[in-house]
Amino acid sequence: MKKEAMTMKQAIFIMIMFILGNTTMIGLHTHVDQDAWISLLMGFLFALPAILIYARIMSIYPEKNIFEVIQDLFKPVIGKMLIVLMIFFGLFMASNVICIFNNFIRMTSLISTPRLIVSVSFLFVSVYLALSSIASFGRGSVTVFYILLIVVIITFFMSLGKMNNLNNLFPIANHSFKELAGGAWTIFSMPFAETVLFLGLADAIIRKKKESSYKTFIYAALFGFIILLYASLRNEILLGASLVENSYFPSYRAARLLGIRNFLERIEGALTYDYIMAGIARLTICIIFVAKGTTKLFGLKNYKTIIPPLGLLILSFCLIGNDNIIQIVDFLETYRYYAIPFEIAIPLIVWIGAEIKMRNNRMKKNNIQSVPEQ
Amino acid sequence: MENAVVILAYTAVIVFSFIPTIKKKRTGEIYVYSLIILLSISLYILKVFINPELKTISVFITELIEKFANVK
Repeated sequence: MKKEAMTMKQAIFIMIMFILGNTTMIGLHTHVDQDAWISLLMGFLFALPAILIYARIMSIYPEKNIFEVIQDLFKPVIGKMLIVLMIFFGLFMASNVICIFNNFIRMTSLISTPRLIVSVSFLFVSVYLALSSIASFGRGSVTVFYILLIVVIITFFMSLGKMNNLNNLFPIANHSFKELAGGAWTIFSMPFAETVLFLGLADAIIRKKKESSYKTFIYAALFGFIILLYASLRNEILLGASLVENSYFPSYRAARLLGIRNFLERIEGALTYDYIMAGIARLTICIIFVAKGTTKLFGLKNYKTIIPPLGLLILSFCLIGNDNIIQIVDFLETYRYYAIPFEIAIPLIVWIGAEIKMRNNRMKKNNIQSVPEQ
Repeated sequence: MENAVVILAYTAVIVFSFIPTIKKKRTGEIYVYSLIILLSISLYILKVFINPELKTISVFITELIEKFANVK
């Protein structure tokens, strides 16, 4: 196995944490109140074709990341333009991740700590992880994933006793199809289709003969969907639709209500740990993605060399990206339009190009083989 | 205080990462490294010292999409 590689299983775990990273914290923000779970289900179904396209690209080019594929398929000018666009997408996503965690930490615990200090600490850990090998990042993520899973299971059992107000889920399907589809589109663009960033790490995922890239994407999306569905239903039942919609961190707020008499309380502390770990995984993926893109853009050999200055660039991006959590949540409305070129258009162009090139190569091969026979 | 932390971060990156890169004499890497650092410093100075009221990227993109795509 390559030194710079992670297994399929590790990739699935990292992808699940990537999907859960922001969404579990800031909620779904679908504007369909108690029908959020229907939008979530629709969003997952909408995301499946996109996810299959990502998996197909990975399957056609198993040992290449999306930037190498773009360089391989397109002429230099168009290829570089596409790479620049994808780099911007990664940079802005990284700045959003930091901004969300920044606000979360400052609103829940470190109230008077300056914004930049929290950002620098958060970035420092992620840059360190990105600088260490992808293999060790993968191994670490397995452990963290199990801890995350244990906390989810504990909160599930703790919330069972409190989830007696099922009226909060009624009336079901009280919104028009257009409203539900709008919410589904938001969920499609964040978090499911954001897994496009994993195409930047595709060259670092080692597959055994029987393992397929489709499995990686679908298992991760499915598992992420199940946890999000649970979190969404729990929040709706415990808090009620209006409180969930008006809260910036609904899961944290719901977790504060959980407890088993005087025996086990303040579970939100464990939840905060989960959020931070998932956020660090998400930020690390963004950093590696941007670093690999920049390396291809300028024709460098080693992507790790430029990770530290990219950390500083992300810090600056964080300052000009968003001012506060209100802007981020408001931006979710626009995000679904903004993300279309990066999550749908570019992968679609790359996929079609890859299919055409593969077919041409196959035809050429067949022609060469048939020549000696004549 | 905030600026001191940022200066410390830049110093750490330059001392522990940029100088070793210069010593390795890899021209391409040095060029890209300098470019990224200059870009990040410019953005930082622009937002913190020159124009603190600068529109954020999210606001800019929202306005752009509202203007050209006529959505929302």
